[in-house]
Amino acid sequence: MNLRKNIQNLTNDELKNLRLAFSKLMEFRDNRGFNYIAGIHGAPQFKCWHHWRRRGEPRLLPLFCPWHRAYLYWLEKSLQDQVPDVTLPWWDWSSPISRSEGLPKAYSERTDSAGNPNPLLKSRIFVPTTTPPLNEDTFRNPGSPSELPTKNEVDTMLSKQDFADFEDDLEDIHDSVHGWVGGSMGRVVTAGFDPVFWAHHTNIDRLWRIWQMNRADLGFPPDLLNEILEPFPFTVRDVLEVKRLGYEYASASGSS
Amino acid sequence: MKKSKKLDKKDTKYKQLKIYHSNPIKMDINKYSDFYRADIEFHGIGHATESYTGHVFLNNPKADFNTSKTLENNYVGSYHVFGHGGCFGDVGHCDIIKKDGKYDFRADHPLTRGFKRLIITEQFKVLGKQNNEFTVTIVPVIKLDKNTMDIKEIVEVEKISIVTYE
Repeated sequence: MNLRKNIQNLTNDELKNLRLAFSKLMEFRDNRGFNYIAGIHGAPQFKCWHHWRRRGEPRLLPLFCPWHRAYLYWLEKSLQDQVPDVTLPWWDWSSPISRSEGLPKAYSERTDSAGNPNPLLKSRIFVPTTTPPLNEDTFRNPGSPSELPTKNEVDTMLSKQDFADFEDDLEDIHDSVHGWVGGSMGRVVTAGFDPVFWAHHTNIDRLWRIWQMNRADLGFPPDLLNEILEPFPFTVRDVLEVKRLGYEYASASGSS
Repeated sequence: MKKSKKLDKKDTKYKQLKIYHSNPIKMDINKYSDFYRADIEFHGIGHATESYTGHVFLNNPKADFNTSKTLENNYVGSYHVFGHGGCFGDVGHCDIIKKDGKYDFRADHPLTRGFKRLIITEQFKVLGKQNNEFTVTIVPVIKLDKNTMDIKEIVEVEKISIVTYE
């Protein structure tokens, strides 16, 4: 079972492996690569699921949570193809350190400890098929750290019993952080290319997981469990339990 | 409720856009005084352009970017929109095509308008007693960067409802 950790708690070796995995993935220009996978979200594939939308029937489908869980899984597996056992860390933007310092240093340092360019700082968006073509580095335009979500807002969201209420709050907090980071992260078209997108969404996924854990059921409308999460080979049912996908979230762990 | 900093007009990191005012919403709250929850629902929210924060006021048409976000100013909350970022396809790429026929299993167009909701129970218990007609003012704020679209207006909403639950 792989454990996803808070970015602040990665050991030096874990951070080094994470950066190595991202670096390797960014070297590929084919469908194994970071550029391709990032392009599933916005340009050029536009497969991301936000808000409640319909598909082939009158019901509105709230697939934001399961879709992004499948997306994170996809990238994590691709990273693990390059560096076994690496996992996606989360960025808790409501933590005291985030609300004091903003972006995690792991994602904002220009170089790693060896002086190499930090692959978590930015990536090259290369999408020649859009109009106009996209060929630029990701960039950020963060707001004041005190504008990040508060623990109180997160706790209020987690206390919601109804899935629709929880999901509305989660998407709104999610939207606010995209806007806070700004730049490439502030636009659906380019957000997936910023490496910090993945730490942001791992936190979103973690919060959904926490909300699920506080319930007797798995907290998703049962009539939607067979909905497909294109382009991934999953239905909602397949991604409802993180353990089934081979990972769990850990705030602390120790082993003999 | 999210606290927001006061916007300095000289602050070039943020841009002031056209403030939105709804049509009046008639609602005699005294008939439903035992409500345990009140929501403002924003139906058909557009999200095709920039990300923005919408600061929402009731019955304060003069609210603007420098109005303090307090109940005294009838501020009831803020919502956030993660904007698409403009169109990067060929002509027609970002036109929202309504699907026709029961055999079309493709998802709605990604720019299909969304839905947002603010829970305003405590605020409405105060404000609802003062009026039976409400106008909603949305003060939108976007961030400026090198790729910011040249737009003057950003709030697109098809309908706003105020809903109470007993």
